[in-house]
Amino acid sequence: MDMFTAMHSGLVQMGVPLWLANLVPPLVKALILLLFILLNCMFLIWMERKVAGHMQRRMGPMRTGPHGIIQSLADVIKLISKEDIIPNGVDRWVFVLAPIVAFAPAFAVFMVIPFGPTLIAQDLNIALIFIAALTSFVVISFLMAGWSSNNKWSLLGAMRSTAQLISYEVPLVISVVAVALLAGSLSLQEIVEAQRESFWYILVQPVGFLVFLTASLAELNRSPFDLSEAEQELVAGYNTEYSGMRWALLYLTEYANLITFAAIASTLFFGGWSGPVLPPFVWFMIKVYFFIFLVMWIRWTLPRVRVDQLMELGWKGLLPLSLVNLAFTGVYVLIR
Amino acid sequence: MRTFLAEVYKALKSAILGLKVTGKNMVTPAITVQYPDERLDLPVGYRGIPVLLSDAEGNLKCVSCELCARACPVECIEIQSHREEGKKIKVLDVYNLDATWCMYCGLCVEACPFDALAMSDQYELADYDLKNLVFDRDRLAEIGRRQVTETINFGIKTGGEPTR
Repeated sequence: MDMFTAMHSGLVQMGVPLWLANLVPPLVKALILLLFILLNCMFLIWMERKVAGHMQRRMGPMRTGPHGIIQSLADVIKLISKEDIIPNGVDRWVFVLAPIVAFAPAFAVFMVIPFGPTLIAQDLNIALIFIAALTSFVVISFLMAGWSSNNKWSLLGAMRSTAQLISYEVPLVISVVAVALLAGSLSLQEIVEAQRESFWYILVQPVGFLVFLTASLAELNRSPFDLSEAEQELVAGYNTEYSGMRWALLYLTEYANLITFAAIASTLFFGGWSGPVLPPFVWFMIKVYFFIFLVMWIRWTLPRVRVDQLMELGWKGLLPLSLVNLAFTGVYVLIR
Repeated sequence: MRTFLAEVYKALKSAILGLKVTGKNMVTPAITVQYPDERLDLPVGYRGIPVLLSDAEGNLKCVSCELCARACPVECIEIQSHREEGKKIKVLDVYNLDATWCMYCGLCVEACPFDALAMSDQYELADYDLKNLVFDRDRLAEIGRRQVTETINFGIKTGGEPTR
C-alpha cells in the first residue's frame, strides 16, 4: 500500500537505520490486523448471545448499554481482573504456551486474506497451502492444553477433539483444492479475481461448499461437533484448568478461528471482496458476517453428534463426497 | 451408492427443516418481560397480599369479628379491638398480618362476611428489614385504597364496588 512505502521512506529520511525502517510497515500491518480481530471478536461474542437469545424467543443481553452492546467489554474487564491460577501439578511452560500456540496461527492466517483489491498484507502465491498448514496448529494447542493440565478428563477431552480435528482436516483441504483447480491458482487474491471474471464458485461447487461448511464446523469445535466443549463441561474439557485471561485467550481464539474460516469461505465460495456498488471492504465484511450467521444458526439448531457418529461422518461421509467433488471438478477443468 | 446419496439427502433435508424452525423463531418477537422496566399484566383473581377495604367515606369495613384470623391455616393474623360506649360495632385497633407466614391462599377473604378483606395485586414485598414484613392496619388500609388492578376474589372487586 502507498501508505506503507510513504511511511518507510519517511522514516529513512528521518535518519532511522534501514533495518529498523524495514521492520515498521510489517509491524503496523500486524497491529492493524490484530485490532481488526479483537474488535470483531468482541462484536461476535455479543452477536452470538443475541442470535442465540432470539432463536430461543428471548432477548440476549439487554441491560449493559443499549441492547447489551457493551456486554463483551464488561466481560473482558472482569476476566482481566481475575486471579491467574496455575494449578500445582501442571507442566508449567506447556500450560502457559498452549493458549498462545492456539491464538498465533489464527492471527497469522489473516496475513494472506484479501480484504480488497490491494488490501492484503502479503499476497503469497501458495496462500492456500499456508492456510491449510496454519489451521492445523490448533491440534497441537489442544494436545498441549489437555496434557499439561494434569487432569485425566482434560486429557480425554483433548484426545477426542484431536481425533475430530485431524479427521476433518482431510475433507476440508480436498474441498479447498477443488476450488484451487477451478481458479487455477493457490493465491487467494487470484481466486477472487477469477470469481470476478466468471461467477461465484458456490454456484459450481455446491457440494464443495457443503463439505467445507461441515468440515469447518468440526474444525471450529462448534455445534453440532462440540464434544470437547460441552459434554465434558460438567466434568472437564481441555480448558478446565484455565482461568481469567488465559481462558479468555482460548475463547478469543475460538472466535478468531471463526472469523478466519468465514473469511476463507467467503473468499473461496462467495467471491471475496467483489460486488457491484459498495466498496470492496464492505462487501467482504457482509459476506464474512453472512457465513458467521449461518454457522451460528446451525449451532443453535442442531443437536450434538456422538463421537463415533462424528468419526463416521468425517471418514465415511465427507471424505468420499469431497473426493467425488474433486474428480468432477478435475474433469470439468480438463474439458473447459 | 444409492443409500449413501439417500442418506446425504435425508441429512440435508432434516438440517434445513431445523434451520427453518429456528429461523422462524428468530423473527417472531421475544416473549421476555424485562422485569424492572415492564411487568406482567396480572390475571383477574390474582392473589397478592390480603388488604383491608374501606367504604365510600374512607372508614374500614372491618367489624373485628375475627373470622379471618380463625380461618387462616397458619394463624398469621393478629387482631385487637375494643368496644365503645353506645356503638354497636367494635373498633379495630390492631390488625397485624405477618407476610412471611401468609400463604396467600385467600381463605381469610372467603371467610369474611362483611367484604372487608380482599386479595390485592401486591407481590413485590421483598424488604431488607424483617420488621417491615409485618403489615399493620394502616398499611393494609392504604394498599387497599391504592389498588388499581381489578382483581375479583370470591365475588369481591377491589378498587371498585363489591359485587355482593
